[in-house]
Amino acid sequence: MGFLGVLIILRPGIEAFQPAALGVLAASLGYAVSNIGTKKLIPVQSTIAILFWMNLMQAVMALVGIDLAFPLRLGAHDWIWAIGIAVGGTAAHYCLTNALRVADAIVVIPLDFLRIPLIAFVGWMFYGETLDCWCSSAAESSCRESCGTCAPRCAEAQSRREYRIPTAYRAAAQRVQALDASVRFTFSTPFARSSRRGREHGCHDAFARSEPLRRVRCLRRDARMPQQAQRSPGRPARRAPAARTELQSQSATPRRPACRDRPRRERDPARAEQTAPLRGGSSRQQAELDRMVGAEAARQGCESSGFFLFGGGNRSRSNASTSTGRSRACAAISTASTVDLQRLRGGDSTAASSAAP
Amino acid sequence: VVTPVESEALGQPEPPPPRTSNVPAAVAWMVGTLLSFSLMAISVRQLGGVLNLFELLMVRAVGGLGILLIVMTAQPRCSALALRRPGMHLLRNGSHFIANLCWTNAVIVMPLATVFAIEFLMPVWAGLLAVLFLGERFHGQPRRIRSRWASSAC
Repeated sequence: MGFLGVLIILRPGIEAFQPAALGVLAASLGYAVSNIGTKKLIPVQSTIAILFWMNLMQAVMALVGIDLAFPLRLGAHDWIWAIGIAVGGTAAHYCLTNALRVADAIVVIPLDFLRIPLIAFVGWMFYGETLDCWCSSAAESSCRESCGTCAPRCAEAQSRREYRIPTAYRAAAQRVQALDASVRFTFSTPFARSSRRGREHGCHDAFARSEPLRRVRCLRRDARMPQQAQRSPGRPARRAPAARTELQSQSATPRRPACRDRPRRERDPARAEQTAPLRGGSSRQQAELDRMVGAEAARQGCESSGFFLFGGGNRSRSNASTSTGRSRACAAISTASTVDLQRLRGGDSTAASSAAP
Repeated sequence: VVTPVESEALGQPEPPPPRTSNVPAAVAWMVGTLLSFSLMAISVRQLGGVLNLFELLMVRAVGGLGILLIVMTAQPRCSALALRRPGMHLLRNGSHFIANLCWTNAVIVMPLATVFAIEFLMPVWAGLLAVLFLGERFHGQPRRIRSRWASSAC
């Protein structure tokens, strides 16, 4: 019966093979090992002693990764949640033990499986995580399921989080990240592409950053930033609305193939003829940038990591090492688009700023 | 119903379980369990943006210690805290700690229902490990599940 529940939620094809999901699998293995240990300790220690040493040892273990001043980072309302972690973590074990004490496991275990629907309800209630089991296409439902998950939350978390991993963890983190990247490329690429999750917010998303399309878009946005200040206010920047329209059309119909060139289509046939070689050139450069980014991603592993723990560890490092090639490519693209823009503006009646003496 | 002979044969010197199941009490305790797990998941997710994983686990360990100290001062008779078999404690707590790191990470970045569903594979692992390392065999299943779950509750 438990497996039924597990199968309902982990339907085949769902992106359950993200690194974080493999982490949960490892976590369940770790819980199993610790249960075996508990079973061996029960004959010689009281429950209170086991729990006491558990908390003491884990507090010592947690010392390696914390910033000692972390309570100062907690706001007033954060303390409620800190108390929630402590009380919830302790009370859950206490209540489960007592339930097993007053009734047989036959009664208790089916009740414990209610945890999954309850937590699905909680996720839906508080975080908008929808989970519909009767969706026809697994990929579509996984897409829908993952959309609501962390769109605003991840961005907020990423912007607020400070990673304080000691240097001893860096090497391990890099190794884990290489493994992580290979796992991701093996298991999740088709679903990561069909997932809308990454398209709805910026570059700072925990999962979808490996997607080459999105990386290129992020790079393009980075390239656009310095240019926007110089553009004339009368005519909107050329690439920004294109990217935005593309985003909207893709989020409206996620399964449609990438329609990158559609918004750039000119209404005027003469203009279209005039800009055809330019478009060819820019798409060639875009393809080159795509290739370069893909090679970078393959060379040093994916920039992102499903593991929060290691997520920030080498982001600055990878940024530093990719920044030369990336900035070169971005400069090429942006100069090309500026040149395009100026040449187009030559015959453009609305470009008052360039026609003015 | 486990007779003392059977419980000895199962290697469980724990006090024998009650003769009858008090279903309403069990339901009440399980409601508490489920609410506690939900509370913990929400709290972890809320604090995920402020603290890193180690700090979250630190909060949990220190809070648990505080609650335990309160319980121990309320019931002084069960405060025999001598450390026996420290190696086993270390193995248990190390694996539990790493598992907690993975679980906390997953609660922050993944849909809650998916995390809990994958976590429910734990009895499978426990069964495999029990067969491998404790020399248990696959028979008398309800009772073994019971003892496994009783131990998992600690």
